[in-house]
Amino acid sequence: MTERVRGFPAFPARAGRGPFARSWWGRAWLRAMEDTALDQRQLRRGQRYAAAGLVGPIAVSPGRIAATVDDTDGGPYRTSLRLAELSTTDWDRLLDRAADRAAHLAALLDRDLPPELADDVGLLPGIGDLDPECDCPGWELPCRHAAALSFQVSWLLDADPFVLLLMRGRTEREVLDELGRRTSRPPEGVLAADAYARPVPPLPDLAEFTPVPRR
Amino acid sequence: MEPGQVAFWCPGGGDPGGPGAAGVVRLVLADGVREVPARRLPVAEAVPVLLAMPRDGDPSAVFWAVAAEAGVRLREAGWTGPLEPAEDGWLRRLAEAMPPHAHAAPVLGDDTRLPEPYPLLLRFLGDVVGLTVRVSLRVEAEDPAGGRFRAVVQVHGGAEPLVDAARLWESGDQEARHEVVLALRRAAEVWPPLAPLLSAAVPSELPLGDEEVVELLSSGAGRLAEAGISVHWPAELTGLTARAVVAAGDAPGDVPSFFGGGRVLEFDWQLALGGAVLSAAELDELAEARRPVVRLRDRWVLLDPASADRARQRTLKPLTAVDALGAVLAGTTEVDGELVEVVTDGWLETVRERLSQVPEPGEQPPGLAATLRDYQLRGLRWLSTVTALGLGGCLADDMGLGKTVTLIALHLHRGGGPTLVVCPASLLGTWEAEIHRFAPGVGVRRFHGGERSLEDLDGFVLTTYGTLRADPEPLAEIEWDLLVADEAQHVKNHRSETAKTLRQLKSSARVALTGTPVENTLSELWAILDWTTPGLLGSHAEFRERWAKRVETGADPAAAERLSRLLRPFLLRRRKSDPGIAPELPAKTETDRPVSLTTEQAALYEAAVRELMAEVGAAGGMARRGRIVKLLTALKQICNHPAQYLGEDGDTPLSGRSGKLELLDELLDTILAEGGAVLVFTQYVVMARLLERHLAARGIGAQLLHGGTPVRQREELVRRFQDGAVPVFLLSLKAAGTGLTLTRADHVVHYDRWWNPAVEDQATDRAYRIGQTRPVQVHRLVAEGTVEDRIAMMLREKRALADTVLTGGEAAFTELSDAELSELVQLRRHG
Repeated sequence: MTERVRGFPAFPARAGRGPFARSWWGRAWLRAMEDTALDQRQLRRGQRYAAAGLVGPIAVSPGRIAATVDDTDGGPYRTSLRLAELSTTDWDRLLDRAADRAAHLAALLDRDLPPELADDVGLLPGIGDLDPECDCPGWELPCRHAAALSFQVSWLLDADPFVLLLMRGRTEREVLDELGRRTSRPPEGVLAADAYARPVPPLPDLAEFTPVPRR
Repeated sequence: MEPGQVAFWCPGGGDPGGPGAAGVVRLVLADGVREVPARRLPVAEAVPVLLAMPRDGDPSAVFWAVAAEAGVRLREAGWTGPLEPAEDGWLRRLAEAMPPHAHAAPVLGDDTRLPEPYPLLLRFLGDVVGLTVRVSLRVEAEDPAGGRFRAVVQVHGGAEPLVDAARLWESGDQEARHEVVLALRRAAEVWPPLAPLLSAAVPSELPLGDEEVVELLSSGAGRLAEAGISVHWPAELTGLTARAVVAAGDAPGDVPSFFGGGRVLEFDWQLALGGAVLSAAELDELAEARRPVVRLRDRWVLLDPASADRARQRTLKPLTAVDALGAVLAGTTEVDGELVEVVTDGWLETVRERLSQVPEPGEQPPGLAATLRDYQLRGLRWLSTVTALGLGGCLADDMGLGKTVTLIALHLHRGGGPTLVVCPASLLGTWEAEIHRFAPGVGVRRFHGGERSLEDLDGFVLTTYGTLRADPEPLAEIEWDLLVADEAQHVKNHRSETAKTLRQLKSSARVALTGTPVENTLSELWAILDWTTPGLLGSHAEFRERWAKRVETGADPAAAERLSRLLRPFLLRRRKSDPGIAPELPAKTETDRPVSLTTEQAALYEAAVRELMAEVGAAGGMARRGRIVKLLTALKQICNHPAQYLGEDGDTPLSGRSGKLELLDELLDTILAEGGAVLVFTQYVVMARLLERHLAARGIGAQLLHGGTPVRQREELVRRFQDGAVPVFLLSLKAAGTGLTLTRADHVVHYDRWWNPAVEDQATDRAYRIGQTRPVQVHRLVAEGTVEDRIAMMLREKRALADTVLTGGEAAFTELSDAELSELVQLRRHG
């Protein structure tokens, strides 16, 4: 069975404030966090923490993103972001929609996220959808640690929109298999009972297999 | 077996161990569905594990081991997807023998069913070989008259050799489907009209109208091909081809001056349908067509925009005579960056055929004092053909195949010249000797040094590249019948003064001779052929652009083939190792190689004769004998190299001071370029050391063996030479005693003369002895006009007498009178 937690190695420290999300869905992700935040200073500090490489390896699983974040005033702190999984109904809608056009499958395989897929079922979080948690002594929501994690997640999303689908409850393998099932007849195969009942002839002689050299 | 990976499990249960990620695999076994511990490996890593499996173990493991071996064989054969019937038959028998445990992982979503054996096997083989899925488009004409077409997506390299995409979506090969949609996404980026294909759930086919077909015919198909997607047109609509025709016109009265002159030939497009040339009226119809399909000869035909343009603009830029010849020889030319077939007819086609044929043996010309071998007669016929057309050529046979005698035969065949031979100074003596020997009675003169008369020309004139450069005017005033550049690699730099001067000489025909494999360096070849056959290969820049870049990178084998068709008529190169050549060669060929003394050598020589003859005359008895030996030794050392005579130490320059050394350099360049190996004998260890230093400075691998070399080291040196580690072996006579077998050598150079021919032969036989499979060439270096020359002459003319005089070695000379001795050693100027 496919693993339902994906781990990503820690980002190294980089100069300046680090890159800003490039993909439209990475930006939408950040907007959801920014719109929720009450204290813009925590966001700016979080952005610097993200660039400084203070966030440890990130674990992404359905409904939850977690990492430890280091700090100068103590820590490391255990930080996570919670996000509701999509309901089975929403997943069916999303997958039906995606299976409807081969272009959607192609885009996902190319690590692209078609806006019309995301918009229909609210794949991306909106205001208040991201629920930060941290064991730091701060009271802010999100705190700088959760903000730092959130910034780095936007980089992960840039590189691979399947990370978003995993947060919402399905692994890449599951999504692709579901799409495959929707667009094609399943392979017929042979009845297992027949396969076990049938007499198996001996293997042919390898010496008789001499492929013709191709140009 | 799973997509891209192999799961190993134990029928007895438990972790199978070994490499790979530990996990579980869900299987349908005889007694129901089970999750079993397993190790997973990517196919590439699993193959070696499978191959190492015992062939008498678990039937499932044995099955996949055999399948892996079959996959390795397919990979080695360069399999790309399609199967030969015999291969398919065997693989189907293999699939038939697949035991249930070998495909026990159930199909997706149905635990009662297992994958079908044959598709599963083919997918595994594709993974072993690393087959990539390729997509192509097949255009079908639903209604050509109404402008209704469709593009059908086809897939190669999936579980079956070639299927329509629609069929792929009916099978279980999800990985292949992913490759297909990704490929189509890229394709739609380079050719946007394809985008609607991906609007459907299954990208199977797309309707196309006239407009899209026109676009696809003009640039779309090209852009898609660059993205890795080929477009196949319906066979029933294709067949329109275009080629370019050189209108040869009437045969010129004087072919040589025709190719040399500025005449141009008309060059036109010709369109054909299924091989039948279209008439002017039909071309008019194509020119006026507004659609991508036209009605022609009772059928619908695809008309690509390029062909429509050609029907409108039917004439091409006229070609010069030499360009036209080049185009018809290569069979293609480039028009607006596109490669186009070129044909001609009439007399030009006859010339093309004549030049393209393998040369037949010609006739031995009267007056030649040699019997030409079969390949030399072919060379002569070839030279006479190209020179008769006024085109020239390059004879690039290996050294020792007789380029000089072939050229002398050409001179006689053409009626006697005047022929000018330009060669390196060190080869003047060889040319003169060979002309005397093979064409006795034919005039030979040198235009070199103090001899510069060109009055009453007859036969051959020999000059050097240096003299030509320094004093070109007298030579440029003559209308030569034949102009020969020997060791033509010396003019490979076409911008050099020598090359420019060479181009100014007037002649009816030009021949370049070289023993180095010029075909390996295309710009050198261009320089040589642009001199022998000006214009044939275009300017240097054009040549680089059109040929050299493509051929040298090896990216375009077809370009190499076309270039070869163009060059073949003008470049004849035979190797000693070619079949049919070796049996014609004598096992051993001995050549005296006369060389001139340099000015420094001549001055030293004359001074030594003057001083030491006086000493000889003044002495008697034993003292006289001693002084005669001293005289002879001094003269031989001077002939070898001034540095040897003067006892100069390690740092003095050696080049440019000895005629022998210049010739040795020339010989070594050619021998090493041919990949040959050579023994160089000298009597003097001092000279051998000088040569060792000189060759090291030139970057030539050489090793030295002399009397003082310890036995163990000798064996090592011999082994290294025989193994081909070092191409040049310097030996002193004394060292070349017994027990040395140096059969790797195909050349032997005697840098100085032994006074005793028997000893010389013994040295030569180091190379020419049992075990030698290649012909051996012996080069004896002789300083012209010196005591060496006199003794060589005695050896040739009065061998019997010489034997008696010389078997005693140098001691025999001590009995000569003053007058006899003076006669022997006095330096005689050439001529």
